[in-house]
Amino acid sequence: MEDIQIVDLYWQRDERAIRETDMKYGAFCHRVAMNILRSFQDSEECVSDTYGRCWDTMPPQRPGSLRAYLGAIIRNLSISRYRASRAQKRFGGAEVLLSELSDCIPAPDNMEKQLEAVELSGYISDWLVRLSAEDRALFLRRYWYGDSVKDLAEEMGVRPNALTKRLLQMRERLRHCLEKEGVSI
Amino acid sequence: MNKAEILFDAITNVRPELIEEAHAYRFRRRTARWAVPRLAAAACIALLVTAVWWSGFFAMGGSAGDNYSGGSGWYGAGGNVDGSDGGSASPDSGNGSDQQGSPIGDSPPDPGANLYTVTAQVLEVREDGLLVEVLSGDGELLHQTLLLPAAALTGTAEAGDVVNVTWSGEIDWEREPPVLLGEITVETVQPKT
Repeated sequence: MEDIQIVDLYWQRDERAIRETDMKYGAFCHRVAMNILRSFQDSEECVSDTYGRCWDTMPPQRPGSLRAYLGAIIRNLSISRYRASRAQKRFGGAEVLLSELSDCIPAPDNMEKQLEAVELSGYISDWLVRLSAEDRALFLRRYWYGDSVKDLAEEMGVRPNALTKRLLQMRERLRHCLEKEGVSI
Repeated sequence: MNKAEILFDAITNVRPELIEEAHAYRFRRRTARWAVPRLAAAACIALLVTAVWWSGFFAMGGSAGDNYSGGSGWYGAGGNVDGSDGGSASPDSGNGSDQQGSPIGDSPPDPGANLYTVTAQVLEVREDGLLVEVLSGDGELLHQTLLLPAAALTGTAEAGDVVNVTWSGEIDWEREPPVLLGEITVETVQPKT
């Protein structure tokens, strides 16, 4: 079923919407949640909550890309769950992702603009658009989808060590770009 | 919320079309070129071991044919089935080792087969070599900064030049920046404007 048809089901308050969503995007949602939480049970709960959130927000929302919409919800729910349990150090996936993303934080010397996450998203999107298609896909597969370096390296046929360095360079380039824009977090 | 989490949230909200594109993107799978020589070497060793084993096997077949009348039938080429002239099979079996060994000896090494070329821009001319950034040639190396050690370098270039770099494909990743190994040829394809 096409995304637009699934969204229509939500708008019609038809419960098949959730079933269709699960059929089409269930595996994707689990993958994103698992990559952050590394816990099947917690991921399962996040996926269920995601469907509930979809039910609550459509209407009025009518997303153009259901994948991106679901992904944003599940990332938010997963990171919230991570934050709630951070003290327990339970979720290795998010720890690693956040640790890597620390490389992208602009230096405080260049503080000019204190941005909201939405504005920052715009800068990051603009930066992504300027990358090659492969670099863009690589960055998002790692930091949006949360895929592991090992899996990505295998998919690309390169060594994990080389991929790690390439990702490090990309994070540094993002940091330079944000610093150049005078962005601070 | 710490800064990395703010970035995480910001990445969460990047444009949906980029998310879709990343999902649909299929990486061009490639074999690392520096792995090719290693694989080739492993294949040669395996071939050599097989050849040696077979030559020994056939040599044994020949001698068995001499010693045991008709006893070499299970070798196939080792002797006649009727056993009347088991020894006559020896030359055939002896040739077996030559036939197995000759293809290895007859294959001259191709020195250009494993060379690897990327296009790069010279970032800096240093005492210890050229610092370059890879512009094209291999996705894995794309935008990678590499050092071309002066001692192994043939050809010259200025900072800003776009050059073709040809070398064995081996890279020392343990050094920062990674260093190309073996002999390196640099050819300017676009001088600095």
